[in-house]
Amino acid sequence: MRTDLPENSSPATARKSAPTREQLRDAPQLRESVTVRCTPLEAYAIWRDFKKLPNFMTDISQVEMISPTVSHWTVDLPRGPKVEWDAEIIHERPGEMISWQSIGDSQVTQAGSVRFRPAPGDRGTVVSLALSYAIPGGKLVEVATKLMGEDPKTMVITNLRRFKAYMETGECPTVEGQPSGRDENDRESETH
Amino acid sequence: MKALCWQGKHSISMKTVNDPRLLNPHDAVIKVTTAAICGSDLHLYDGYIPTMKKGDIMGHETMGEVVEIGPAVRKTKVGDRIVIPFDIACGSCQHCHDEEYSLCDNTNPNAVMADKLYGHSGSALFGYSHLYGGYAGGQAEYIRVPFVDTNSLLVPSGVPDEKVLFLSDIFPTGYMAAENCGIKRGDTVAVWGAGPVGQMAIRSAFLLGAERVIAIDHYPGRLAMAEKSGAQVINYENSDSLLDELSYLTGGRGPDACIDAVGLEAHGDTFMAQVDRVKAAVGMATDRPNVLRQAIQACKKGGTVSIPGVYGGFLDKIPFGAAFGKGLTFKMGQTHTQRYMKPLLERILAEEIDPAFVITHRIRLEEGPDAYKMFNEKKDECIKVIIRMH
Ligand SMILES: NC(=O)c1ccc[n+]([C@@H]2O[C@H](COP(=O)([O-])OP(=O)(O)OC[C@H]3O[C@@H](n4cnc5c(N)ncnc54)[C@H](O)[C@@H]3O)[C@@H](O)[C@H]2O)c1
Ligand SMILES: [Zn+2]
Ligand SMILES: [Zn+2]
Repeated sequence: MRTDLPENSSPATARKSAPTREQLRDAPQLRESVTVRCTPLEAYAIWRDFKKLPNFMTDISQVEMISPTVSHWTVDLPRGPKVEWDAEIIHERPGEMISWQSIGDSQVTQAGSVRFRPAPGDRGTVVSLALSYAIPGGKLVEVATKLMGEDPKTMVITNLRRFKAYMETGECPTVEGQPSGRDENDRESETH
Repeated sequence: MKALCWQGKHSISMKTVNDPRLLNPHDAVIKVTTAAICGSDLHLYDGYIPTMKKGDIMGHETMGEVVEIGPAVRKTKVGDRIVIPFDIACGSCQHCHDEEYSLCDNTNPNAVMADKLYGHSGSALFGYSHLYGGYAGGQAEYIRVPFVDTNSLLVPSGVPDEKVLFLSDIFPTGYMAAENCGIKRGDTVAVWGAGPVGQMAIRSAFLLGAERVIAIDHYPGRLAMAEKSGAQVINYENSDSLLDELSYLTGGRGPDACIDAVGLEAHGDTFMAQVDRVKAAVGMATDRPNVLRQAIQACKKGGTVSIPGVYGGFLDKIPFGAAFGKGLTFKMGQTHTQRYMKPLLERILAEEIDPAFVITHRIRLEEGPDAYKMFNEKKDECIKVIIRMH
């Protein structure tokens, strides 16, 4: 998950280093979970392969691995500025959990964890995500809404749902690119 | 290609749109041979279902020939003749695993919207608003079908379209409605609405062993068709008190099960029905649950109210006290079409039923806009319209 300040909104504080413990303690926390029909290890493996996250977390453009535990994230949305940050894995137990925190001079400061636990009665795996943000000089919800037209909670749920669909079916549902009676207007507006 | 598009309340146009293409690895593109107009389409036509956008392609009762398949498709082959269920299922989630296909977790790209409105999103549906995924429908020359291996029934060669087309929706819907009644020997089932869904429910109730079916509507032609299927019929407009009559006909016990095959646009001239219309018009309530109220009131103690009729929002003045006091069971929802397609095809091939009996009109695509109007106004004895595409 990612969010950021618009370029013009507090230039002085926008590029600060990692959040202090106090900042994150007081930061808004998002907690969402989803049940996926797979084993905890399978869910963990796909999640841990950060490079593949953009396959289903559509608003993340790219994730590069800088070292086995440090990754570089890029979000480049049509309606917002390009946002980049580095994140480091703080703790992980294969098949159980991963936690991370943003590091260095990044525009986004966040800490998060994802846990994978077997659901009762062989119903797959419960994937629980917790995220805290500390954005110097900005209010998360306002900023994210401005950038994405969606609130962060909705974005988290959407991404978890897409993760689930990707895990269970190998694809994420979409209707983008299908025909409609609006096609003619598109053609007209292209030519005018 | 040409397609019937929703242009606004009471406005359908045939438009030239882009051809569909594969968008996901489990997709197929189908050349439509026959499609139908459903009573559910009328709820869109009448503007009762929110989140329609101008230009949306209509239709969810569709069959045709596979012309293109995605790289992850395993069973379906180019050239197959298939019937397409109206609900879109992934085939892999827990609900699909449990054969609750219309509750699939993974096919609605707008699930978050439905999550907010209903608590959880059901599956996507073809041609049925953006709340249900915004998928282009099948009243068109071609249609894209996601997860085609799950969302298809292979039609054996030599079986005409008309015999199997309704496996896409109304036959499974009527059948599931009857199955949900848990019919036992000697049971009487009352069916409100003698439209296509009601007709299929009547036949299915008999197939499942009902002793007697009572059909309720106000169109003589539809009631006559119900009578042909063996139902006893009541024209509610000629009946002083429908509830008294149902009670009398069932020895004071009430029907063992009541099927609401009407849904949110029930007609009626009772005072409550008028109130519903006014409230719906001013946005105080969204649905007109006149039939549901009657079904609850009529149903025997410990009986079942089975609701294939569609509801979308908030219902006013539901006699929940009666439902509680009589210990009723409610069964409802979009049909898990994929669960029923194969077994019901077997029944068709065994000549236990030919669902084509409901067809009254066969049209070409360009006649679609007029057909919507005719079907909505129930003119020209219209019961079921099918569109022959090519
Ligand atoms: N659950 C599902 O998956 C599913 C699938 C298909 C259709 N449906 C729904 O089933 C319902 C019926 O579909 P249809 O194609 O038969 O539609 P239809 O419009 O042709 O038939 C509805 C019938 O109900 C009758 N009716 C209206 N008010 C009545 C009243 N007060 N008492 C008795 N009868 C009354 C009408 O006269 C009409 O004959 C619709 O709500 C439709 O959306 C549900
Ligand atoms: Zn239908
Ligand atoms: Zn599913």
